[in-house]
This record gives sequence, structure tokens and C-alpha cells, in this order.
Amino acid sequence: MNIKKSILLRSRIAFLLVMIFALAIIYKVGHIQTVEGDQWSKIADQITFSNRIIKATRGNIYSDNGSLLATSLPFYRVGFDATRASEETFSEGLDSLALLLSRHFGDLSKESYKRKIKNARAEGRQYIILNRQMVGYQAKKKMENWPIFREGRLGGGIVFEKVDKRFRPFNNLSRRTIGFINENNRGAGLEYSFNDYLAGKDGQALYQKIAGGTWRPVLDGTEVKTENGYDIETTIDINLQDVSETALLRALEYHSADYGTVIVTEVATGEIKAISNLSRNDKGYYYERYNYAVGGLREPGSTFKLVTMLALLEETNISLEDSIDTGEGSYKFYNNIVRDHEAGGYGVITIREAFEKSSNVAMAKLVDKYFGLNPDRFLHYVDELRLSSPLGVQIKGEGMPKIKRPGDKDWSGITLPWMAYGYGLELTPLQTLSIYNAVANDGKLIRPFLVKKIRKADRIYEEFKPQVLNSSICSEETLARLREILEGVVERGTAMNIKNDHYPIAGKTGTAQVLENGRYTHKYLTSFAGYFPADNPKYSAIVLIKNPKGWRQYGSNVAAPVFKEIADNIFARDIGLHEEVQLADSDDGSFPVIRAGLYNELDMLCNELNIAQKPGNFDGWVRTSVENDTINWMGQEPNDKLVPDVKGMTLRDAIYLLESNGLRVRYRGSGRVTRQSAPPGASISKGAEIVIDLS
Amino acid sequence: MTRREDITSKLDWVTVVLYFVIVILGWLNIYAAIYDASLDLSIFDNSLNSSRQLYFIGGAVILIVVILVMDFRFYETFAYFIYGGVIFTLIFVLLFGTEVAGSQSWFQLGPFRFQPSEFAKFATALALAKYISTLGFRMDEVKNQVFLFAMIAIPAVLIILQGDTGTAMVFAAFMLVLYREGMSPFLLILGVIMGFLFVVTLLVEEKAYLFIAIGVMAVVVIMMGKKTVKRIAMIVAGAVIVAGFITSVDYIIEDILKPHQQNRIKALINPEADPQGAGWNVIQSKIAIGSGGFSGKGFLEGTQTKYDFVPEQSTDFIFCTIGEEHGWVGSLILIGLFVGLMLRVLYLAERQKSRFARVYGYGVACILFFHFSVNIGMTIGLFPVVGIPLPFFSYGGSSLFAFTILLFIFLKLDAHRSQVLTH
Repeated sequence: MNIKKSILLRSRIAFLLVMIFALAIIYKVGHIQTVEGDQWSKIADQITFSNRIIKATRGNIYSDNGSLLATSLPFYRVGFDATRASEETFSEGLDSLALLLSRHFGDLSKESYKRKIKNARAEGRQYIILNRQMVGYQAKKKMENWPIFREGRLGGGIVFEKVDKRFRPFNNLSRRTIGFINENNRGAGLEYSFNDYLAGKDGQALYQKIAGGTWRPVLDGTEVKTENGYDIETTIDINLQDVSETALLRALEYHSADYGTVIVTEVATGEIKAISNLSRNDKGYYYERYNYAVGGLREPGSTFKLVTMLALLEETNISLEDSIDTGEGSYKFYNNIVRDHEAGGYGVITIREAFEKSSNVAMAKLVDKYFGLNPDRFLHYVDELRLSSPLGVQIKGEGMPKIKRPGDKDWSGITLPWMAYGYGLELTPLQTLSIYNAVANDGKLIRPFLVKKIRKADRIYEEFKPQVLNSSICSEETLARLREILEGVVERGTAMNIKNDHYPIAGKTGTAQVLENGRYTHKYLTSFAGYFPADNPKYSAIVLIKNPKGWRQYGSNVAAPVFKEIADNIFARDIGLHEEVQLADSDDGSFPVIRAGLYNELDMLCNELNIAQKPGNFDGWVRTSVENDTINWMGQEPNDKLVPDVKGMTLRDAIYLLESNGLRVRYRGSGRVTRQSAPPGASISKGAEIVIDLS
Repeated sequence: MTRREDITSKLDWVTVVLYFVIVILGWLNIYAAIYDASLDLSIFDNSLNSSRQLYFIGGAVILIVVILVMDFRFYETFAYFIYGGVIFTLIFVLLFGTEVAGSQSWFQLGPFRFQPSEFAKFATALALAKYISTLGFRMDEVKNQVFLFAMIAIPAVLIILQGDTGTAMVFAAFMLVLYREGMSPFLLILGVIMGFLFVVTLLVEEKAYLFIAIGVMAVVVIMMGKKTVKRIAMIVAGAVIVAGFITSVDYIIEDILKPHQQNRIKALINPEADPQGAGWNVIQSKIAIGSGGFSGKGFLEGTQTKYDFVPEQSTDFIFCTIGEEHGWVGSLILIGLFVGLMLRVLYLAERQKSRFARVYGYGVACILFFHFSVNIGMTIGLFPVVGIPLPFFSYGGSSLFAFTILLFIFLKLDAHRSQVLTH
């Protein structure tokens, strides 16, 4: 092959190669688009059209007087079908609509909105999102009257897409009892236990994916209507709940305890009026993490002596005045020793004194003496009090009580005497309380309950009445004596410190050593269970506080005062001295206080509470003024060289802002900042102290 | 010296028109690829890639003017300097560059970023052309072959080190140039065979079958011909080499390639095997193109590209937008434009009087060809997903500038083709 031919061949090969590849590509593209075209188009449709679930609105949870404890607030995405409005409506309304949109959202100019809507119409767009910011219900109502929009979905093209958010108006109050539920339908508390009712039935509609990853509903008649959830009316009294939680929190903080529980029930009905569980996190803050009241099984300790006394008084003919030798504070059963708290012991005392002073030795000896040969007889009373099985409360996750029986592997000679003073068995706080409630309720044992009604609007779906578990737990004589000795505990016994002149309290202290990993530790579970007023019981309550620090770790010093504080509050309120808790302090009684803070937070707050606000777009800290029930924002320029104006802010915001500017903060009072020692705008010397007053 | 002639009358306007048509279509499609109906921003909106691409196009026009105004002898004279300079920046970027999307191949200058590897292509083309056009150059001398391979390999290796294997692969296109200039076709055929074996290795999971097949084939070949010792030895040696190659490919894929590269190659063989992973890009791309049908959904009416189904929709996967919105007809027109441009460049290359300009012209055609076939090939599942742009069409300043320089240096050389002395 000569050179010329060879070169010609080589260049032709180059040309050919380009052509071959081009043809291969054209063939392949054609193949994908024609032969495989249908298949790919189908897949494209599948991923752009989707049957989407429309969430039903979740039912509300109410307190006993109808205050909202949990609700779903609707928010709306404002979409627009630009092809719907008639030419006349469109041209007439466009200007003012654009102006209103611009004013409401405050992000784009009127001209931009106008151009956006006009272009969408010119191009026949059936769905554009006018603004990604969602609007609250009131804003939606307002928008429904705007030009073009007021012609509705079909005539005007307005599309409000609803998005629900769960909201607890009382924030963390009773958080664990109200509970939560997540996307996987796992949760806790009432939200979880009553999810079947609250959830409602989700609907379905065909949606189409459009630009920006959003979905537009296609109304083609195949949609399944949603059924909204039922509302739940609880027995919770929001004021009582607040009082209990506050009292408990204060005690926990004072004693640096691990966790605490308070339950308050109404004696006559068994309605749970307040239920609070606070545990400490790693940082030392207390919050509701676990429902100890319902799920927390513990050895009850001395509060169980009530059951022991009931069994003794019913079974035998002993008198409260009979004496018993408690010796020098210890007594040996086989190789184990029962001890009393009092060093040196109580010596020979009456049975009444033994209960009031909470002698373990006396209870153990008495039970051993009368039931030692027939433990089943003692357990018969425990069974009669429904302590051996769960109460069956309406919250899921109730603890399964543990009661040993003769013949069990771990039953031994000391099991019964130990049980006499509350060891070797495990109960939930709610179970213990139910017994005290029964004593207060003339012997009638009622199942405590939390949910009164399940309803939708005014239509009641289900109503829960008090359920009697045992109409008479003991004879009337026994009952009278039990009430006598419970009053004696406060009158003369271990809980003398909560005795007061205004109303009598009856109850029993408890201080149980905590069993951890099979060993008794030096941690104590202090408790107080009782009822008040003792002469005409209205409420029963139990307070448990685990592992208080300090040298006085008894039920009388730790738990009983909390009981007293709650009782005082209820007593005061019942004679009309107690003020109702309100959502927030008000200036004129109608408008919530939002004076200063972070714009994003306040903006969210306003949206959640449906408070009208002037449009604005600020980055950091703002101040507010109120005009015609509308919040007006004023931006605050951040400047770390000058003292910021923190008046009107919460303590948290004020401290954050001041300390980030290098000031040390000292504060007095609580509420919102009313005065600051360095005036706003003064220059800052780093590390200087500033004093702020709150009220 | 002849009177300085007007450049406009000598310029090959066919190429220039093709260039601008492709660039403008690219710009429109970048807008279409990212268009969001609910935001409805204009093509000039500053937040969009399309508006930035317009600035790049403006920059490219300035570059064109500069290239055309400069003396045509500059490029030949300074070919090695340009090459050396680019190699230097490639080393420099390796040491001080900015990492973007896993590749250490970017320089950050204020708000601007650029990628020196894009410019290595035309620099290498210039240097190759210069070397081949030296007086007395003979392709069959081993020394020359080694030198040329080194010239191609140095930037390629540096770019691989930056983590941009796709761009480095482009340098393989220069093998076609060498072939045109007299390199033995044996090397090309060898390359094709190796490619074939490579794919077969990927396809067959159990390598033992391959070895058995090779053995059987060797025996059959031996039986068919004369059974001389020499022939048998040759065939056995060949079989051993093939088996060794397969083993080493297997080793490279399993032990040297990064997992994402392995997956891309494996996804090419069977994208449906892992539709959420490596095959995702190709499947989404096919859905977009396939749903376009014969005549497409219309400008700005595509859904798959815009709705973030297709990845890199304004850069590497820009062809999807054409396929979806303009269908088979649109694809045909675009491919026609590219083929027209490449054939025109080849035609121009063949008419050069200087060897330098001709070799360079082939270089231009080969680079365009490689980019074109690999880029479109990957969007339709002919090639593995290799991140290289569609010339003049994809979004991106570095790539547009580099291709513009590449092409217009050649047009400048072509305009002065009658002024050079032929070797």
C-alpha cells in the first residue's frame, strides 16, 4: 500500500468513525424514545403522579373544664391556578391582589407578584406557589376575601393546601401524660393510648409532582375523603396540674433528687386531676421523660403499712391500744434483721403508736404472729384491694405489680414479715394511691381514670364513668380505725411537720431503700400518700421523690411538704382565693405579651397563636408595639460595642444577648425585663456587670 | 511579505455559525433544565445558571476576538511554552487547588473558579502538533512514539491525581491523531481488544468460565492449523497473556478502583441491578429521554429534568433536556449539528498545508468527538457515567472557554493556511 493510499484510508476511517458513532447514538436515542418510549413514559408518570395520603386532622385533647391541652393547628400553603379566573375578574383584581400579597408576605414587591401571576396566566400554569411561607387560619380567612381569590377554587384559582402542626398551649405542663406520637405510630401518654380515636382516618388524593419538588392535587374524583379524629376530654384540672407540677419541681430542685411523681385524684370519682412526672437530665434540668406514676414499679415501703393494718384489723380482734414490744429497734427473723428508723428503738408501744411512728419491727412482728402460718390469708386482703393485678388505667404501659406467693421460688420465711412494711413487693404509685383513695372514699375502691369523654364536636362517642373495683374494702369499724391512725400520723406521728390549723390531713409517710441490681443502696424513695380534708375527704394524692440529697431523706421531710403545698393550694382555691392560671400575662386582658425577642421565634409564636402581625422580615432581635390588635415589628441593629435594649425580653433572651456582648448579668425577680442598670446604647466595657430587674 | 489580509474574509464561517448555533441552543437548554414554573424566573435572572452562562458566552466572544487578532504563528512558536505552562498549573492546582465535588482540580480566584484541566486539552494538542511537525519526524521511530505517549500521559496522569478520571480519559482521543499521522493500527486494534476483554471480564462474574473458554478456544485454534511447535507456542503464549490481562482487570476493578467508580462501570452493564444507587442517574436520564418520544414535550415543558429527578441536569446530563423537551427530532438535530461540526473540522484539517495545523485540527476533532460520544453515550446508557461536559453546550465557564480556544485557534490557523510554507 503506498503512502498516499494509506493516508487517504486513514482519514476516511476517521470520518467513518464519527459517522458510525453518530448513527449509533441516533439509533439508541430513537430506540429509547420509540420502542422503549411507552415504558419510560409510564415510569415518568408513575414518579410524577402519586396517590398521596391526606392527613386527617388529629383530635384535640381537653382538660376537665375544656381548656385545650393539645391541638392541631392548621397552616396553609397558598397556591394558585392561574387559568381559572375570568378575564374580567383577573384584570380587575390583579393590581390589588399583587399589592395585598406583597404586603402580607413582605418579601417581594407588588410588581414582582404582578409579573409572576401574569406570566403564570400567560403560560397557562395550573399551579404556582405564590409564597413558600405558610399562612395561619386567620390569614387564610382574610385571603379568602381578596380580589380574584374570593371567587374560590374553581372561579378564582386559589388553592389552600392544609398542613397540620401539633401544638400544646400549656407547653410542658403534663407533657408525658398528654404524650406524643411519631410518624411510626410509636409514642406515649394519651396521644399514644388514644391514638385510634385521635388519629381519624386519612384520606387519599392524586397528586402530581411539579417543579421545585412540590406536589399539586389533581381533583379527578378518585379521592377518598378524610375523617377527622375524635376529641378527648380528660379529667386533668389545669390549675391543679400547674400547682402540683410547680410544687414538685421546687422540691426536686431543692433536694437535687433524681425524679419525682405527683398524682392527685378526686376521692369520690377517681378522676385523676393532676399527674406529673419529672426526672432530671444530665444537665440538671427536670422534665417529663417517663410516666413513673403509671409505669414505675417500686417497693412502696411504709405507705404499704396501711394495707397491713387493714389486714390485721379485719382478720384479728386486736385493738389499736394493744401494746407491742418493739425492743431496741431491731428484731431478728431467721438470719435477717428488721430495723426501725429510731436509734435505740421505741420499746413497748401501742399499735396505734407503732403505725403513727412507722415502726417496721411492730408491723413485721404482728404480721408474722397472725399470718405467719397462713400467708395466703394476708395475700387475700392484698388481692381484695386489687393490688396484685394492674389497675387497667387508660394509659398504655401500666406496670405489672409483683407480689410473691407461698410456693414461689423466691418465697421464704422472711417474705411475709418484710411485706408487712412494704418490701419485697412492687406496686405503681397509682396503685398505692388507689388504696388511700378507697379509705377516703368510705371503703369504695375506684379505678382511677384520666379520660372522661371521647367526642366529635357535641356528639359524644364514648363516655367513661367511675368504675368501682370493690364496693367495700373492709368493715366500717376497720375503716374508721384506719382513718383514725392516718390522721394520727399527721397529728402526732411522722408527718407532724405538715399539720396545720386550717384543715386536717390524713396520710402516711414512706421511706424505702432503693434496690439497685439486687442490693439495697443508700438511696431512698421518699413518699407521702394521703387525703384531705381528713374529716370530709375531697382529694387524695401521692407524692414520690427518689434519691433526695442531704442528710434528711425521709418521706416526712421531702415528700410530705410537697403534699402539703398542693393541699394548701387546692384548699385555698376551693374557697375562692386561688387565681386561675392563664395562658400568658396580659396587658389589657385580650392581647398576649410579646414585647421583644428573636424575630423568628416571635413570628412563629404569632403564627401559632394566630395573632395578626404586620409583615416584616428581620434577621435578629426585634421590639414590638401593638396597633389595632396587630403586632408591629421594629428591628434592632446588633452592635456588640453598645449595650442592647433588653427591656420587655424574657430572662433567657436578655441574658443571651447581654452575655454575648461580653457583659456579666445579675438579675432580680422573674417575668420580663422592666429595667436595666446600664442604658441602651451606652458603650460596653467587657466583663462589666449589668443588673436587670424583671417583673 | 504579503499584504495583511482581512481575517473575516478568510475565516471558515460554516464552523463559526455551527459554533454559535450550538452555544445558543446550549444556553436555552440550561435555562430549560433548571426552569421552575412556580418561581417563573426569567432566563436573565441573576440567580440562575442561564444568566451566568450568558456572561460566559460574552467572555468566549472576547476570547475569540483575541485569538483571531493575534499572529497565527504565535501558537506554533509557543506551543511548548503553553504546554509547559499548563503542566505547571496542573501541578500547582494539585498542591493549592480547591476541592469541588471530590476533584482537586479547581482554582478559586475571588468569586471565580476555573479548572486548568480543561485547558490542558488544547495545550497538549498544540504540543503534539508541534512535535509531529518537526522536520524529519517519523512516526515509526520508537523514540518518537515514547516521546509522544509521554506528552499525552503526563497531563492525563496529573488529572487522574486530581481525581478527575473522566477528563483524563479524554486524552485517549489523541491516539486517533497519532493513528492518522502514521502510527501502526496494531496499537489501536490492541486497544479495542483490550476494551472488549475488559467488558467481558465485567460481564462474567465467575472468572473460571473465562479461563476455560480461553483454553478451549486456544485448543480449537491449535487443532485447526498446522501443528508446528512455534505456532503452538505462540497461541499458548497469547492465551496466557489474555488470561493475565483478565486477571489484572479483575484486580484493578476490585482492588484499585474506588467503589463509586466500580459501581458506575457495573451499572453500565446492568443499570436496573441497583436502580437507587449507581444506576439511578442512567435510569432517570433514560426516563427523561424516553418520555420525550418522537417530538418531545416542548420547550420548558419537560418534567423529569426540572423536577430534580435527573442529576447534573445543566452540566453533564444536559442532553436529557433535549431528549425530553424536543424528542427524537431535537436529538437528531443536535447530533446533526455536532456531526456537522466535527466533519467540518476534519475536512478543514485535511486541507491544511502545514503539518502542524493538520495535526492540531485532528486533535480538535478527536477531542470534540470523544466528548460528544462519551457524554451523550452515558446519558443513553452506552457508556459508563463519566463526568465530562458536552462541548459548547453544557453549563460551565472553564469548559466553554477551553473549547472555544481549542476550536478558534484552529480556525485562525486555517484562515492563514495559504501563508505557510509546507514541509
